[in-house]
Amino acid sequence: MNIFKKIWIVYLKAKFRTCGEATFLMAKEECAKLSDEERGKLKRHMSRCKYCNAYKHQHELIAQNLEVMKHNIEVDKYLYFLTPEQKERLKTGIKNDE
Amino acid sequence: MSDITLKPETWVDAYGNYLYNFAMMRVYNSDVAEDLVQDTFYSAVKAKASFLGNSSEKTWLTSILKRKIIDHYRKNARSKEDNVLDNPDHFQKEGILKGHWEDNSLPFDWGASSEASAVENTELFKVVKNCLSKIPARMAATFTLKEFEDYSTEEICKELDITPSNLWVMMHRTKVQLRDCIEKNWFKPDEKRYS
Repeated sequence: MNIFKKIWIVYLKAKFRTCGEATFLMAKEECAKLSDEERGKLKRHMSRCKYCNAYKHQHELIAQNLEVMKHNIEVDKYLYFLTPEQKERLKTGIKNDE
Repeated sequence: MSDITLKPETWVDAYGNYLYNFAMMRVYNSDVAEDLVQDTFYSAVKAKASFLGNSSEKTWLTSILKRKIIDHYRKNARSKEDNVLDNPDHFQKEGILKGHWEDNSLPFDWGASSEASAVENTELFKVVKNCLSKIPARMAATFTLKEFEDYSTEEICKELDITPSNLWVMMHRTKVQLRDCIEKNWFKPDEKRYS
């Protein structure tokens, strides 16, 4: 890590939350309401840290991808298909259960 | 009892692939998914008499499968969470940079060019699934219940028997591990976009 990156991170750490804390607050924010102090510190960290912004953006893409995949199933656009053997096993199971 | 006659012999052809995909999205293993679908049909056959016809056959079977998936999470969740709550390896543990990203875990910009392709990409989804399968079951379950089922904090805590603060920690760890795993499996190292 070069000296400028070190100075930058030391400054961030002194002034704002660490990346570990910031990403934790992002996870917490999805499940609960953050306090005003937590929200302020997260906002300040995010205004300075390109890595945590990249992290946030990555999770937005993942969430969108999951949403599309979930929707695909509902409109019968399947990703996986039962093999004839699996179907046979399931049908036999149902016959035995009845 | 309803007037609607259920036809279990048609279920596999009519709903098999739907239920299998529904399960595969949530349990990350084809054998487990097949077992859950089989269990669903078994329970549905046994509960045929209680089907009131208020919902479609498909919706009814899906609700049974959902319950089976939750039971699967509960059964596989470890009784102790200590290992789940350990400090993640992705942040520095000592020195002046304590709490900041480790050099080899720094998130990079996936880039606008990958954005459109990523969102609808089935290969990315398979990488996500594969990565979730490597994460401890209870942690992956918190993520799945939140992201796929839109469960509230209270519902997740009740189903998995955890406290809200444990949930935040597990969600955090899952997300940090997940993105790290995706980055390592989805992108090649030389594609990193930070100068």
